[in-house]
Amino acid sequence: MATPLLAIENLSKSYGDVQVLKGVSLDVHAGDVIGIIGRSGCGKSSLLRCINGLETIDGGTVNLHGEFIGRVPHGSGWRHQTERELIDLRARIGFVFQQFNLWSNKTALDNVALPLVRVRKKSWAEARETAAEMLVKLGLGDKTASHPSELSGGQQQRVSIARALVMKPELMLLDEPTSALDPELVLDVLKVLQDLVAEGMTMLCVTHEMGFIRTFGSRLVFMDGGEIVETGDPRDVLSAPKTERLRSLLGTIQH
Amino acid sequence: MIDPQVIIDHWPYFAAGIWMTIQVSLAAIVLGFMIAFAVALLRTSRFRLLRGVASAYVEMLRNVPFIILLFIFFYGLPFSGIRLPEQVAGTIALSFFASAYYAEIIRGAMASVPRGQVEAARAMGFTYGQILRDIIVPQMWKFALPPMAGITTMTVKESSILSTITVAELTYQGIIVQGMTFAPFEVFFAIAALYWIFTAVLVRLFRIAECRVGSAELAAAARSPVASKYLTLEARP
Repeated sequence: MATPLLAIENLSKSYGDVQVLKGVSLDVHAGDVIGIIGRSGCGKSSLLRCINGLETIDGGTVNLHGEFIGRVPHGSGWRHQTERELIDLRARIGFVFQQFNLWSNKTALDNVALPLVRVRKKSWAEARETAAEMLVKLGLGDKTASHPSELSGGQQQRVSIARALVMKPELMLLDEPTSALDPELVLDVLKVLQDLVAEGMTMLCVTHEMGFIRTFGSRLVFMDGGEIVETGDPRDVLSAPKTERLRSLLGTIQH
Repeated sequence: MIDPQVIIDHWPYFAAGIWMTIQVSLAAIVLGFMIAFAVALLRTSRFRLLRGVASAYVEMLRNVPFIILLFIFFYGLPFSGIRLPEQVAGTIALSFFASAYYAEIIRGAMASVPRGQVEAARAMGFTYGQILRDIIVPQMWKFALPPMAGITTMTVKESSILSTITVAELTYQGIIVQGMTFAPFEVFFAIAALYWIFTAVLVRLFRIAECRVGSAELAAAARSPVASKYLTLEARP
């Protein structure tokens, strides 16, 4: 098998006395679409946040294309990377938040253009042109001048996806991208995600949209208590869960 | 009996006084704010030592009467070989005094900018400087301006203490005129009125600025889908 795009090995993370990740290992290959499910507090969000260095890693490694993220070899041991060292790595990974987290002092267009200007050092004119194209592609061509407060949740989430995509990430991390949305708006966002799958984008997506994972996911990861409990082809895992823990979770989710 | 003639006869003193008060106060407000911004950044530093220094600075200045701070600058510094003209020493002391209060306001206002917006920028590879400039500073004014108006008026009022080190500001000039005329009511009512006018103008400017930062958002909220659903005159079933 080819070397993975992202290799997570024995990752552990604690907040004080609470260990939220207890040795998670996961290989992600280019083009994989991995759905991560689990109860709240099982460590799935922490896993995504460790992958792009938003949280510090206590043990284990995260490796993107041969480069360690967050925790790097140092002498005979390991050390944490500084914020400045993490900047280049983060720019290669797209992150979509449950609460969108658009910048409320900027228009939709500038939300998408700003990272190109600041991180990719593009001119405003060029960045706005690229941003406008991306917004049109995501069905928001008429919303470029709107501020986040003037947009619906689904529109805001699509702007936030556009903001991640213009950076041409090697990998997208999505933390419950549809969980904060009204039911009728979920489909708009899922449609955008489907298009991404079709384009071959590598994605790690924490979600409870089982239909989406079943149809488009290449792998399902079920986490519980800070560990990966079950993983495999989504269709197999969902139709024949091996553990009681997954069965009881699936019982509580409509799918 | 109140005799307005006293004030009319001595108007050049009052004019010179209020002009000096305006200069000294505005300089202290601007300088104090700049110091405060640096102190507020230090208070959120990753390094504990810097955070400690910044919070010691704020606590020290907030727990000392301004007149003592002023005396340290004016009477104390010459002993260490630094001799500053009274106007300069007074302005610097007033800047430091105001900066301690502004620093707390700025720190609170920065912390009020939604955490998720900062995190989104971090996740995309922004530097902390870029996050400050693009996300935090533009959005902190809404939280900072209302309490800043109070501290700014306080700074103007405290500038009257500079009269004790013979800075020829409004209160000092009032004492001079009072000594020449023995008309304390006329003189000090006139001075009170001049302070009041100056602070009232400043507060008014702050209100205008608050409307600027607040109104932009209010207007956007009024055009939002949620608002158009509820803020409508149409009867809905």
